[in-house]
Amino acid sequence: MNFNWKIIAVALITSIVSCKPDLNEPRYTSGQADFSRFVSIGDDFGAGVSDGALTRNGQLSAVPYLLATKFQLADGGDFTQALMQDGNGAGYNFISNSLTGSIYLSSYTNCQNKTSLKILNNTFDNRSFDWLGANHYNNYCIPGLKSFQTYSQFTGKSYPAGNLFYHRMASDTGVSGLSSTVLGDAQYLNPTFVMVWIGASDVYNYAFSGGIGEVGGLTPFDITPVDTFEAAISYIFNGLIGSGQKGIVVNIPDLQDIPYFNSLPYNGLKLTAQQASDLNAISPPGISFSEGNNALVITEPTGGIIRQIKRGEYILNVINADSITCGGWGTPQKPIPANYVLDSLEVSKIDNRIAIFNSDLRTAANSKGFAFFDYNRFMANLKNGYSFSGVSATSNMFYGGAVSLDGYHLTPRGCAMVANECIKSINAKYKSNLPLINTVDYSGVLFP
Amino acid sequence: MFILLSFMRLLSRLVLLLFFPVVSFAGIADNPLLGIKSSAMGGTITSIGFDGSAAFYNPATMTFLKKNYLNLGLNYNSPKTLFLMNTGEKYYSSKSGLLPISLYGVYKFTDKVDLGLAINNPFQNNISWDKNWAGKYICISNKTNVQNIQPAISYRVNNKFSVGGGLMFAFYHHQVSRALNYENASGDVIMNYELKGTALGLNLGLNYNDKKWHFGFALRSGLNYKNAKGEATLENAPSSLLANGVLPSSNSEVTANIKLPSVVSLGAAYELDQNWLVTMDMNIYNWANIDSLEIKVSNYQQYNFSINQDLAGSYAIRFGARYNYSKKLILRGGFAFDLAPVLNTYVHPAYPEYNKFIYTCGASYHLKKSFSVDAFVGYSDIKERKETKNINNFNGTYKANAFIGGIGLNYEF
Repeated sequence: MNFNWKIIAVALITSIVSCKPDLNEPRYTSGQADFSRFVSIGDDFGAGVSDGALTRNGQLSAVPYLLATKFQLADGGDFTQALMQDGNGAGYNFISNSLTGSIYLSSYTNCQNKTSLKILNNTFDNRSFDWLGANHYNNYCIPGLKSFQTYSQFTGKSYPAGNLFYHRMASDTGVSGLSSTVLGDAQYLNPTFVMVWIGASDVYNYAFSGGIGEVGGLTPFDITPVDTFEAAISYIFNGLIGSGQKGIVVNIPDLQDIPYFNSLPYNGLKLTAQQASDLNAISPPGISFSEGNNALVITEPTGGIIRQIKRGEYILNVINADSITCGGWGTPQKPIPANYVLDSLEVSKIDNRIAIFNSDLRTAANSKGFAFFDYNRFMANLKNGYSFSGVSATSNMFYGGAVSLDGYHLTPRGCAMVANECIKSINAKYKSNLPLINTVDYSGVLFP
Repeated sequence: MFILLSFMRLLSRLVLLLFFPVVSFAGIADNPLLGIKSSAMGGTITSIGFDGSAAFYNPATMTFLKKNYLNLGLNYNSPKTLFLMNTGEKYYSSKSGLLPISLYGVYKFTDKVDLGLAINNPFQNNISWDKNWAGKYICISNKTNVQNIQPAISYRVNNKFSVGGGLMFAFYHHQVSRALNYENASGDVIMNYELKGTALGLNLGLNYNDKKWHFGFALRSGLNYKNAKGEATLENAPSSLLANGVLPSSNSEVTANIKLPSVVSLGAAYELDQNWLVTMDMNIYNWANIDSLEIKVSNYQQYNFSINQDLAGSYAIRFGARYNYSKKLILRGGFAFDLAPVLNTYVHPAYPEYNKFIYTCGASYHLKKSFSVDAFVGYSDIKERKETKNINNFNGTYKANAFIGGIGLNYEF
């Protein structure tokens, strides 16, 4: 028995101690899809706008960018974006009709001596619209871009009234008179895989401006005419996307599911019995109050008539709970202005147009055999909560974690959740096995 | 040559037993390896006492010990868990060693009555994950400890049969932390929960010895902490959320009802000859009616910490062997298979346990007439399992292993 016990013992112990558990990662494949040249086209949602502005951080968690990081695990190519400078970025305020930087959350003590949250503006970064040179990119989701603006030269650099977010990344110098188009620039890369997420700006620019535009017009605050939208979809699907390419189409959310419009309830005026009777004494016929929750008072778009708002009508998030309790808004003395309100007629026009556009998008996706992600349903479900990989979120303003402070665009975490749903659709459609995105790596709302 | 033959004989027996259709378990926080000698033998101890640890495992076996014993033991257990997410990321639990200390004593009060004392940690768990890991909203760290103080007594009815019993004074201490779904520029809000409770338990044992055969039965009652109390504290809470009441501005009271399972153990041992002893145990753990753990935060129930698992009764099968190599050196070996009480789909990052194989070996060396030193090492191979029904769809695959060991001082007189 001449075992060298020491050596055996040491060898045994080191082998056991150093041995940590392991599992093999699956191998990822693109299935029937080819991710080598991925191009996305669309508006704010795909651009990565968050907290009211397009920022570099937002771009680095834009849904198409997140998808590209996973495509790259299955032979996907590079994905370049027209990245903003670090900092506050650039956004557009529909109420003040002005450029702004990103917004952030701040706390203050309100008139009832309670701590409340409010939104403050960062300054607009004036480097934001510097031209980046004659380049081509993979992400042609551009803030505010409407469907027909994808192929219109009037969007381009020769036209100051075009889209400033496109001008900074347009491939032409803007001096020849003939501008490049978004679609033309996107085609340049000869994409093998395309994401189309267009149409929201066609409707929501109207909604954000409180319905001051026209239904069926081509100016910024209008809702795009149906035939114009359908022609644009046809351009995109037959121009950018020929045959043989693969892709994914994402649709438009409903108004009622957007926190910017639904976070203040129509009956958000809370009164004591005394307050109610005081207001009744000065109210015109047709307006009455009682103890408890009361419908807010608004001004009609024409004639300056005031009335109480009805269920199903929306107040823009310019007015918040503190504007009512502390600012006295929503009463006969201080009615909420018409351009802060979407009345039932405006709402029905918006709802109707979203339904048509969504149906067009689905038809186009089906005709090309594309994957489809129903963002409309996602936002509807988000009201009741969504959970994925240990992270849960709702569409609640501030506290939900998925929707950014502007109440419309997603937080990076919300983008990661949407990207995951897109990956699921793509995997199901093209038999790829892309892994999902780890949502904890992306932040939600930052509190002061 | 003789050793080889005995070993072959033992091996064939073990193989036979292995193919016998039985399954087994070790459980969420159960800590079965608390005696150095029995741990070296895969945890087999119900039918025969080896030293003072008899007072804990089966008090009835105390009266068949030939001497008085005093045992001090230090154990080491360093489980390492890997979580492979459905996103492809791998997360390892950080080093979370357990160092339970046990003290046992057995004293021959009369010819027929023995008194015993056991101080140990029958339930223990310690796991921590990175603060930014994917499961941070579910659990970042979880540390459970039951400190048991148990006096025991046994009575020899006749030369073959004895009975024994003990009272367990068991002190529960639980610390959990997780992130809440709010963050500021420096990261997430972390909530730390801490709970304490006291419970009384009972130990009963029977022991039957006939020539070369030994049989044992032991019952350890469950522990029921009806109203464990403590408090929850916050780290890194945004001041705005403390001020507007979204988060509690002062420490919150927490309460929980905690149940730990009863254990029924059956054991048999056989002396092949004067040098060889083979042992076999079976433990049955009654987790079946313990499906959930909920730590309730007063006034802020949205921040309760809860674990819902569909637990099933489970059991462990253990095999051991002891060989007297010389007058000074005793060698031991063992093997156990533990069936987890957790159904496959409900594994929780706070208790990422699953079916496991445990391999152990050890030795005792006599230093002086009444002093000897015991040691064991072991490896626990925890099988992989895929989880699909955790809260918030936190799904992936777990795999774990643990290096275990212990060293003890034995004094007999």
